[in-house]
Amino acid sequence: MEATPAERSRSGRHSRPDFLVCVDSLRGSSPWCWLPALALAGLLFPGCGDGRSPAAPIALEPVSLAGPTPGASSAAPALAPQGLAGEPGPFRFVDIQPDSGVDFVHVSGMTPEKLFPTANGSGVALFDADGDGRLDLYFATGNRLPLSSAPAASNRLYKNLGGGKFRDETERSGLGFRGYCHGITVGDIDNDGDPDVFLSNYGGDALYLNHGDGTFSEIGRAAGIFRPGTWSSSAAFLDYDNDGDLDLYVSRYGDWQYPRDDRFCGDEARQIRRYCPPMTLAMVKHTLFRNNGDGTFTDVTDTAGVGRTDGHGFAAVAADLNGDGKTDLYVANDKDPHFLFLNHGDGTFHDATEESGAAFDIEGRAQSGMGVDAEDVDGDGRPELFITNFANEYNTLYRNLGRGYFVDATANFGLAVDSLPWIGWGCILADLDNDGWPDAVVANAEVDDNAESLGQPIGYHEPPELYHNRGGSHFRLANRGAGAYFEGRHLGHGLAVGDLDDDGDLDLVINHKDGPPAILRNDTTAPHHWIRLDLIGTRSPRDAIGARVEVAAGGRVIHRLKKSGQSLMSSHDPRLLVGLGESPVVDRVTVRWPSGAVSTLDRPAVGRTHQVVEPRTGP
Amino acid sequence: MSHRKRASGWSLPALGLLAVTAGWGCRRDDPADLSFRARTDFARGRLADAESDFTRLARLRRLTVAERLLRAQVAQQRGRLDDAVAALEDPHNPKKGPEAAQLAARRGELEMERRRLRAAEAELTRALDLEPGLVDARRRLIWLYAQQGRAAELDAAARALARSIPLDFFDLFLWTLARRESLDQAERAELLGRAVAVDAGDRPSRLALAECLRRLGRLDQADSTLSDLPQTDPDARAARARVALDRGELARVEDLLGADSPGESHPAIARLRGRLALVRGDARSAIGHFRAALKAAPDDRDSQFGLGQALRLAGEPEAARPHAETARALDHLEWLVQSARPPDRRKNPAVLQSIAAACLALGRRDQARAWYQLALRHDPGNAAVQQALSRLDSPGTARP
Repeated sequence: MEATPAERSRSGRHSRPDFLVCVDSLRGSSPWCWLPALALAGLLFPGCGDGRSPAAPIALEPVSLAGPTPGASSAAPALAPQGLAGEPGPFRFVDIQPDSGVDFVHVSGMTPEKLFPTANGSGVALFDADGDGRLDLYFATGNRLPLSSAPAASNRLYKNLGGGKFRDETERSGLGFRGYCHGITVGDIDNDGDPDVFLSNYGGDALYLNHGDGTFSEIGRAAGIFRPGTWSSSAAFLDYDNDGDLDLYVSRYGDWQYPRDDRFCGDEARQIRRYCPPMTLAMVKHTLFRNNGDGTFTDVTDTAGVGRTDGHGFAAVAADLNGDGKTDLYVANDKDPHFLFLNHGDGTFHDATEESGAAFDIEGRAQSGMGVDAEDVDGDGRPELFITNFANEYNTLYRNLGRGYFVDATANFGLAVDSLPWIGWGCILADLDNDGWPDAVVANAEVDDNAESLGQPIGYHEPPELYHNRGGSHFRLANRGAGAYFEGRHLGHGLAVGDLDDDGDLDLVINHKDGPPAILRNDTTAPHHWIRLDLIGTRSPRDAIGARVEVAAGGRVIHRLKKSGQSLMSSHDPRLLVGLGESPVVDRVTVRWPSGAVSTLDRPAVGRTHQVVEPRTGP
Repeated sequence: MSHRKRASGWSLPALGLLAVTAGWGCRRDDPADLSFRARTDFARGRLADAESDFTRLARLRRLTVAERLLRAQVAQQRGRLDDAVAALEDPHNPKKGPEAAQLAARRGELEMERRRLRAAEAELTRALDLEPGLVDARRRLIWLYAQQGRAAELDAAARALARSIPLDFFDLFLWTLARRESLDQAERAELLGRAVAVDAGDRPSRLALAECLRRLGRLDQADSTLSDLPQTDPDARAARARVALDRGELARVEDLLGADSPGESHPAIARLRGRLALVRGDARSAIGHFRAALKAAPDDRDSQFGLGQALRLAGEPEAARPHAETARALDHLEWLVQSARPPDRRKNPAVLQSIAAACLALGRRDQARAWYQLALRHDPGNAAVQQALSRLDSPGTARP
């Protein structure tokens, strides 16, 4: 927390001079008495005026006026440890990392100097890097700042061998980026059927092109996306201009240059530093790059109408949020309004930020947005928005009212209270028990590791939150019984979801700041069915980002989105796994592609993966 | 040595001692001297001696108002607030005039320190009735209203203060964000908790405490804080409903809010009803509730925004626009003010100027003027700010 001249006594300023009062009181005394008295009482020390006491103890200006530290709660959070117990939930997860062969350890570079970029952690990606059909794991890492010519730590890629085992393939793949990496965004930028990788970095982004054999080449400079000195948090791929290839939105946190912006925040007298608040950092435009289709990109931020400069950007999710078939963008900003850009479909967006209802919390307050996701949690066919926030701000669920309007309905869904004590980072809305309703997971961690030395009884490690969606009407905390991980405390930042073992349920991977990750195998046993959809775009981008899926089963229609950028700094299983609840039958699957094409599958078999290819012609 | 000589040898010191003793006795009994010494002791930080001086002086004569003020200050600094308050009491205290105002202001300050906010408000208000120019008393009142979330009273007090002196950043921060929860909730909860503990009948503090606790997620405590307030108290009903809403107890919320009457005049209840209707997607009901809320509190951001959103949902975008724009302007203003909190930005004329302009856009001319004046204090030669102020004060300037 940045220190202000705290406990500033405001008494006495502009008040009646003390010596006048003293003179009043001394009327009638002989001059030999009051002259020295004036000298002493009036000059040596303040005396007896209106509020001129030298140590009036009331502090009218609170310590907290300087604002929350960026990540920093100015007060002890309303920790309700019992709140995390909750009712036993249906979930069971087992952390298989220790025996998995994944030996990655994240490096944030955090030191007592608390250099700003070292606060935010890094993400993780689940994608099939080598085309063997299994989801591999790719972890991002930071390094000590300022970056040396040969940073010690590198991003690491682990090949999924099956059976919960992984092997380090970093060197062979060429994905061993050494720099300061926050985010990983995966997308097939050249529509050649293999996933490419964009890295959001402090110091300049990187773009890796997949050769199709599990090896990659970095093409950031040649592609025109590398900007030296920039600080990016996350990114999202989307085909904003409907030309059939993936464009790229890059969320920028701000302009922080060392040593220029290395400010002291914290207790200056004791030389204890904390991370500075976001408001101390100049904001910059986030960037939208148009894919030129030839391996290069062009900055179209302003012409597309997304060139706002008032957001410390964290995560951005790309999906069709207003149901018009075009891929929109929603961006979580730290202590600034969250951006909502609704796609016109002609290469421009309507900036619906302020009118949308999704820019602020229900009281119009800008929250410390970090992670973000979008999914239809109440079954009305319209995707809600979910954002993680700082301590003493709940994680916000915006209910979609249609036509691009949202309302903060966090409390209505029972999500307000349990999240208040924690600092939320990565998050997902995903159906973890296949009951047909998206649940919620949030990775939490305090920002500063030294809050206690500043008198704030805040632990550094924090419990993750696991919420069970009860039939679309409300959520309940379900950590209890979900396994040791959910009953412990961690430094969770990046969070990704996907079916690592292809057993029909969604596993979780969490990148921990300055520690090994968690690889949480989903062992939830529920009598529920599922279907998996692998969408292959033809007129739309091959990844089909922006597509909407409707699964009619068990008397209801389940709506799911093909998204990019959700959670924070992370990428997820590109396949859509749709839980069906107890319905053993799917009546129909409808896929609405970004191009406007529609595909249907009648009575597809449950419990298996269906590849759906976009029709090349027709509506 | 002869007896005479010995006697002579004793007599001189004895006489000297006698003289000193007589002098001491004389000084001890001299009220003027005691008063002087009390001040000297106080000024030198000898608080125990000063207190003793005043005690002796009070035995000799009635203390003057200034002496009582100083005596109270001694006790205050020794951490004995009750004694400090007692030190100010005297049946012959003036009932009007500057001294009466001083006494009331000091009592208000002490009551505030004792966290008896009701008594503090009464004393400070009395002081200001007697002597409107008591700046510190006004500031304390503003601070008290900010803690209790009493926007209307805060607004009035801040306007009065602005007429007396140029406001500083903190004054303007509280004033501009009077209708927003701009202060740290944990700090407020601690203070208000003490206020309610020492004065269970302090309704404004109780309501504000419940809201702080709710915001901090301490819902059980918020509920119990409200339990002493009558069921018929509409503010308490609204507060209970907010707690229930945070718990996701929608049926209880509906129950607490009572029958769904669109004409509900209590703004907090109407606003809550509007929110619930909006979440349900019931635009027509939401419009009615938000309109009712706005009647009672036209400057309320939530109601402006809610009404705008409800009108849009109802297919009335033109009617929605002014409400949405007002809400947006209020959001922008809060963002600007909050962003100006870091110490270096508080003195940045461009930042302060932008806040002033945002106030002006909302029709808050007095606030705008005060922000411009603050900008000018940090950059007296700033021509743009001077011109803006001049335009603001020129008689022909139309109100936005």
